[in-house]
Amino acid sequence: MTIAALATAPFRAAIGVIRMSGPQAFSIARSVLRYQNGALIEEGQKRNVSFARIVDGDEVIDEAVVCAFRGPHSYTGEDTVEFSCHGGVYLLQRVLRLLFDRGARQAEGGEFTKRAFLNGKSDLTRAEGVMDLIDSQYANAARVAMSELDGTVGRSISEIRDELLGICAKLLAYVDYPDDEIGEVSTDEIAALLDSSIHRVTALCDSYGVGRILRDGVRTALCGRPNVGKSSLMNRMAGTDRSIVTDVAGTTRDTVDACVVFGDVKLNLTDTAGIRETRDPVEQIGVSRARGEMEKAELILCVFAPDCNAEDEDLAEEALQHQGKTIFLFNKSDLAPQKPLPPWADRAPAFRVSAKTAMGMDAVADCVKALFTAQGTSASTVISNGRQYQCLCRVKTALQRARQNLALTPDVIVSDLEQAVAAVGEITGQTVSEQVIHEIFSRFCVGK
Amino acid sequence: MTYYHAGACDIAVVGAGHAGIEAALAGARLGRKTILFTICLDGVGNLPCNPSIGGTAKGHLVRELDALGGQMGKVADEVFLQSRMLNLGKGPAVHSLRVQADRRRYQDRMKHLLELEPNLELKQAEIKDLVRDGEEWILTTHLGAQYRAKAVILSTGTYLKGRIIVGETDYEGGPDGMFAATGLTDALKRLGISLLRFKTGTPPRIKRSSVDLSQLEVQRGDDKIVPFSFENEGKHIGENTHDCYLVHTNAETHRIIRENLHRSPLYSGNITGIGPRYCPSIEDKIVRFAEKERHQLFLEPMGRDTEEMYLQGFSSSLPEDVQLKMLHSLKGFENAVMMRTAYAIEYDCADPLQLSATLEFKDFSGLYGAGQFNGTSGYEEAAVQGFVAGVNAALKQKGEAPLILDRASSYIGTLIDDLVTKGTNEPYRMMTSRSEYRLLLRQDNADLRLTPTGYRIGLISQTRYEAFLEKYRLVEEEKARCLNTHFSPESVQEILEANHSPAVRGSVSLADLIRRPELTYAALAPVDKTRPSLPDGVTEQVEISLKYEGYIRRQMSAVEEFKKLESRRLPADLDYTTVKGLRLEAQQKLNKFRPASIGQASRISGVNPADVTVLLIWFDRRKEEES
Repeated sequence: MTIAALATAPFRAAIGVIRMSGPQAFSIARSVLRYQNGALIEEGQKRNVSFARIVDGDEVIDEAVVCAFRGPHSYTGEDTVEFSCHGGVYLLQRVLRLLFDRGARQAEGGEFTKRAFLNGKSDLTRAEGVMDLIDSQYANAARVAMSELDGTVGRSISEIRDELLGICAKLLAYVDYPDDEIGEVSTDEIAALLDSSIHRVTALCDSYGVGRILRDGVRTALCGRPNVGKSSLMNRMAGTDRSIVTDVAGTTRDTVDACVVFGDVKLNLTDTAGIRETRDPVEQIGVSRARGEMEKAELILCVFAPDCNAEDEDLAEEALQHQGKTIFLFNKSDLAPQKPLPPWADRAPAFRVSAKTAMGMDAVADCVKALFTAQGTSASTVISNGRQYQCLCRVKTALQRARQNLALTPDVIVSDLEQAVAAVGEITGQTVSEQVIHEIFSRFCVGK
Repeated sequence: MTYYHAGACDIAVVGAGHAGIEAALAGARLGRKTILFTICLDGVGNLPCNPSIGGTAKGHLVRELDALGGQMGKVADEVFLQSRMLNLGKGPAVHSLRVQADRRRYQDRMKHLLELEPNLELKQAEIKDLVRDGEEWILTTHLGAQYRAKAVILSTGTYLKGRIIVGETDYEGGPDGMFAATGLTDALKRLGISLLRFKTGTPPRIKRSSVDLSQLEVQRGDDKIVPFSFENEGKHIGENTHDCYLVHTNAETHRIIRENLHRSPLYSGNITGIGPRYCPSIEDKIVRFAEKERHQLFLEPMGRDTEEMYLQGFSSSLPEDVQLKMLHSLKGFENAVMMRTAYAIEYDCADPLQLSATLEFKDFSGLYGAGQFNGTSGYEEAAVQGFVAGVNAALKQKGEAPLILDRASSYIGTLIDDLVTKGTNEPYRMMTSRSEYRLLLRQDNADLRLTPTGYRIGLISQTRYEAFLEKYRLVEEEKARCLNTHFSPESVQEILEANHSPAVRGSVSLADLIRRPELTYAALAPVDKTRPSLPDGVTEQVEISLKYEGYIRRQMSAVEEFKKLESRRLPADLDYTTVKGLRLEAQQKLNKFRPASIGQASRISGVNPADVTVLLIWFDRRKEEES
């Protein structure tokens, strides 16, 4: 089956690339391309770049630079064609639909890499890293993906594994060699080890929050009473030098109004209706939606005008009740730069800002960065891969269970520990049994 | 030499150690005409090393064998001198039964049983040659007798090209002063079987009356004796009659060993065979664990009609004069008399990767291996393999489905899977750490796991099977009662306080109380007014299955996962170089071993998780294409 998909992000950009791979890649491409000079690829040629018009019957849709790769000389190992079209979501979608009409099908997420893997062009761990690299849309996430590729995560995980393996070996030696002087493994000793391992695994698991946010973005609600300047603030955030505005279309969350990278953090911004008591049924719906957004948000940007009143205080209070982190933004501060902030402002990070002049926006960006990139993230290990995260969660569960059941017998404790080691092994690709046995014999003098 | 045709049989077993005995008995009991050859009739069922049966994981093997209808456990129950359940307090999964056996009585009893068995002939002869003749095999003895057999089971122990090494001296020989088997190795090589050379050793035997036992720490047997055989469950099988003793090496012993290391064949290079890590010689221990100031030794009885005692932990291949000095340095052994010298023995065995899970050679129909011949160590490991090989030889001839025990079923299955999938580079010993389903594969429930299989094969009698069904009916009934019996907080307050167990708020079930770590089924008897009188075997199952319910359930789901991979069968003729995405090493390993399933493939060394993913995708794709 021949697959096709947009290879670049669905943003408004100068060019967009569509990739198609599979046995019919060349024939489908030829059916939609019209050449004045040259051809897609000649017999016996490994790869070729050409210029052609993309046509749907008689209608010219676009002009494109077309790269053709003959398998196995391609990323996937199959015949592959890449169309560099003019950017624009609509245009790209139209070209893609045309390819589907001619027999290609939409590629599933990661399917190109999966094919590369299946055709021996990439191994599994590299494939996983590459998929994350593709997912990462900007510097921070790319760095996380890189650390996975060169094994920072692996190292940190092996350290945990070695600790667990040590105690497993000791318990099993104690159990397998009752005649030898292994000595009882004290509950305190196991408890201490479990606590330290749980701590380390939890830190890694928690870093997945950061890793995920780096990749998927922070769900952000922009809220405030009517006319405090929420929308202009959003435009400002989208328009500062430090951010990238992305197209609304193509994002999966229909409630997201804009996707911006702000303070190196990707924010999925939702502009909400102004919150106030109202009898207008339509406005009531808007207000209740706004409240729903606040509830679900990971970051609540509460916007106030300089003349804030008791209703603003209520809103601030409401925002603080929710799970998400809250930042207070006192907009229009360019008009009244000296006006003192209300006393409740110190309950969350608060900034004097101006949507109009961009005043204070850099400080807000720094604050967002501090809140959502873990301290020292750049240096420490961050888990961003879902599979690794799942494995680590299982490690954590098994360790916590062992901790809880310490009053039970060593045979069950060791089974929890082995499960933890096995789950770690799924990340690093090693099996438990042989390792443990090796440990037993290298560490303990056992046997008759 | 003149050869003559001496007879024909269905199954010929070569070697009458623990593997050969179980193989021959199983084959004969399944109605096959069986001949069991031994180099010396006085060496049948010998315990040439430890005079003990069972121990950690090995005790599990004996009980599993018994649950299937094997012999070892029953005879051990008859001839034990001391019985202990090891690891009490470490959890039911690792409770392990071990007995000190009367070595001579064990041998006599086994030999007599073999002699009494219909369909079975026990013969003293060394098999010198083995050749294939069409579908059959021809075995030639050292005296020129030729036997035809439809199946041959090789259970040659440490006899094949056996070589004894003591210090600077070495000579051809089998264990315990027997002859080595000298011809068969070459016959196997001619067939194209790949052989390994392994090594093991045994400590000296000491004259009891020459040791000052009052200087040693006594180790007694258990007050409550648990039999190996499920047939003896609840029966009184006898008392402990002998003690074991504990003694330690000291600085002087270590000095003597260090000063004489240059005379050890292990260090001079005279021994090339690979010895087991878990059975190190005393000189090995002192070199590898130099920081340890002393090592434990156990003095164990060899039998009731002998003064010989076995000094466990003192295995050595140092020269005899050094051994004597070492021995005399031990407290209480100042005047000890050494009756048999410790020795190392090297022998030929088969690379078990040539076998399938039935223990039949993949390339030789009707030829099976069992025991040390397959690269294992230990009487119990040998016995279970003998049983599996004997049963499979018989089942194949009867046209029935083979007996293949998987890892989730038993330690036996784990042992065989390890052997035939991963191979071994040292004599393989069973350990509880080798099983990933340890909490399910307990010695107490071996009958639940395997007796239905033994019954289906035909080695468990109707009477015994009915008793088994009744036992587990009672278990289920009592479990249900525990779940449905409830107590008010007041009625259990006193017993909870007495056992330092937190008080309960509302009504609580008996099952929930049993689940508390600090409480037991037995401890709750005073409040449990409706408790029926049940055999210990039944209440033990009830208590374990309630107490460890969560863990058992989790391992059961792990078994489900395991079975999914095991059920994805790989075609025997698949050329793995055509499976895209497999690494070269994996392709080569898979082409060599031809695993039966993706599960087995995943356990082959050199096949990594990514390769398994490739196989899974390949498997699914192929299914798609077929449908």
